[in-house]
Amino acid sequence: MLKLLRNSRVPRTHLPRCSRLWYISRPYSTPTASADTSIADPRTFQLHPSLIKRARLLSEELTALQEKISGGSSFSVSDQKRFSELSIITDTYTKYQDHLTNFQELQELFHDEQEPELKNEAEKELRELQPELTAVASDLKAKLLPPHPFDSMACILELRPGVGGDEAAIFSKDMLEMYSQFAHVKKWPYHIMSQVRTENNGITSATISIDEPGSYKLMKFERGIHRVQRIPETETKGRTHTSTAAVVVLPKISEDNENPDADQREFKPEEIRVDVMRSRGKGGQHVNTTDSAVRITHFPSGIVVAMQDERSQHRNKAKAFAILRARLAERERAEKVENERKMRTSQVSSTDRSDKIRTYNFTQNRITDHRCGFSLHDVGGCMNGTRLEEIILAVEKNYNEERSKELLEIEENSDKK
Amino acid sequence: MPRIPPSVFRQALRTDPLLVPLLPVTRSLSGAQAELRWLRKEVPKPKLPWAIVQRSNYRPLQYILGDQPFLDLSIKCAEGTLIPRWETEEWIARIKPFISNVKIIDACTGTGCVALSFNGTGSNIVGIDIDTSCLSLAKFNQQSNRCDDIVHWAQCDILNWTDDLHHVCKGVNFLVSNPPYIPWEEYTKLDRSVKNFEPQLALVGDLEFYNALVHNLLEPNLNTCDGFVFEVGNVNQIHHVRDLVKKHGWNVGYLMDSAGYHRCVVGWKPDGRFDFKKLCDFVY
Repeated sequence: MLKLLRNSRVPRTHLPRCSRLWYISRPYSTPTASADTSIADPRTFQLHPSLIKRARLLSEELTALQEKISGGSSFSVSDQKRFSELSIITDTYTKYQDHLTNFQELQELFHDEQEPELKNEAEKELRELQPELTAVASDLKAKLLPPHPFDSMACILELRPGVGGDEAAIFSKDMLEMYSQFAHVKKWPYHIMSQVRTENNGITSATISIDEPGSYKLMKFERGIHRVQRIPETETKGRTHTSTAAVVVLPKISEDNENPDADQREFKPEEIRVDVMRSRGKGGQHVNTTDSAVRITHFPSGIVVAMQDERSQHRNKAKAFAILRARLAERERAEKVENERKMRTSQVSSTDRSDKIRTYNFTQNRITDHRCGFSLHDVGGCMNGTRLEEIILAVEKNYNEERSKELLEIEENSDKK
Repeated sequence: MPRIPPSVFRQALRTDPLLVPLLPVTRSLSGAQAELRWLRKEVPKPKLPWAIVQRSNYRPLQYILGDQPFLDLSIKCAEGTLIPRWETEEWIARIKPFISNVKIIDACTGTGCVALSFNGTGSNIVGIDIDTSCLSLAKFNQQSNRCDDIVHWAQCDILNWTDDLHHVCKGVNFLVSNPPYIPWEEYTKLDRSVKNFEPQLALVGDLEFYNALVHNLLEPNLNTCDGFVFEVGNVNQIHHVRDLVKKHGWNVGYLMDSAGYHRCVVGWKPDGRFDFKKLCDFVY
């Protein structure tokens, strides 16, 4: 066994000197598998120099900030926030460095031919340390990636049935329940902003607002087309149908209870039109209508938002503006991403563009996410919100890997130029 | 009024049988669905059939549920008091940013919704109404919404100039009112839910109320009062108020509501603390 190990070790001299590929840690599937068979090269865990540089810069910023705060000259919430963010990253970085040096020292002992007893000990410790190091390395990498601009925000989910008629509407309803249950399990405050029911207890559209700041970070992976394969309640002959539901995730830019007039003032009057239901007769004291529907049209983007769930027109307007701003922000972000992508010569596959993202196969009791190939064999557990997080986390991990890869490619391209 | 097609009734029956009695009142399926949803949410289940029967007899939903959201407030509504309208909500939201630290008189306050909406501007607010039951409802609303600005209530008839009225209005800076403004000829043609359930006292009136507001409330306090906003029902009433205050050199304009009707007449002193020029949709 040991002999095999020794032979499999790549002699340092044979390594190409500045091959960047060696610095990229391998995709997340490797550590547990390789832990049993071989001891990895420490360079596998080394991060890309640009990431290390970023980590150093951040820890320098932390020291500067620390001095500023301890000086007591000024206190601001944003400083405090930044401080806690930085200290989390720096902690991970120090932990990572400790582990790495430890690992390298053990490796040297392991390859030291003179002392065979130490060698066994070292091997044992190496085996223990390896998965830990992998975890810390990937953790650090995720933290060092530039954060998504909306990650710290609350979010709004819009659900709409796709192909599949009644069954799609019923599945959308199930999805709505799944997300509310998920928010419940996570102890996130949420409320259903609007829903339009169909005759068969399905929905034609629904909006759910998850009010926890930072929920966008996880929920953003839910955007896309969700496919369901099952025997619908409406099916009489026992055939399996395939239908879809579309989910749009928007960052929550403004609160619902903010003043809609302040919102309205933010837009130019010619950009926006607010329609209300024209009541019969002359309005005012003449009519005591309960129809409080509001529709906002934003001309530059062609976005139309209608809201009719609240009894007060004022609140409907506030909600509609919240959704409008969220949609505009999301569109702006998507355009920015698209531009960045166009600028790059090499097209990289990413999570953002895939349309069908997940399949819920009820007959096989399986949920598969097509972006990372992760399968969960517990449809019930997912639909009641308890195990949805597992899937989302797998997607997130995959997303982080891909982003760091993209980042490296950009760096390499700019190096070549 | 156009007849509701039978197909809509059939569709309502298929969706939810409880929608059918609501349909003639709301006159649209989406309206009936919304009302049924609110009824289900707020009426306890044993009382739901009663509530639906009440509603199908054209009783206003706000009286059945007992309240109406108004800006950030929840206003209790009871028979004998006018239900707050969304048009009022709209113009108050527009005007509120202009107001701070003044003495406000709200004449014909009803549920008190107008007066209470100015809570938070640091103002001294007085709500006036002729009806004592309205005033007790207004007091209730003040407590249930925890309004911490200084709000007082006074029982006065603004149509007759009395010492009481004079005393209450002394030193007013800003005058608001939603007086009864439906002429008698129009009142007879109103919807059943308004005519049969809401108080005639709060609905029927015309120019005499604007005369009273100007002569009894505004003119005795011309040196302190810097502006007013009165809700109106038609453009005649705007012209009438304009002619009354133009002789004092005041600026006059009006506001439209989102449905496109003339809704408020606004007046302000040229060198006073308010400049409503930006607020108005039209300035004379």
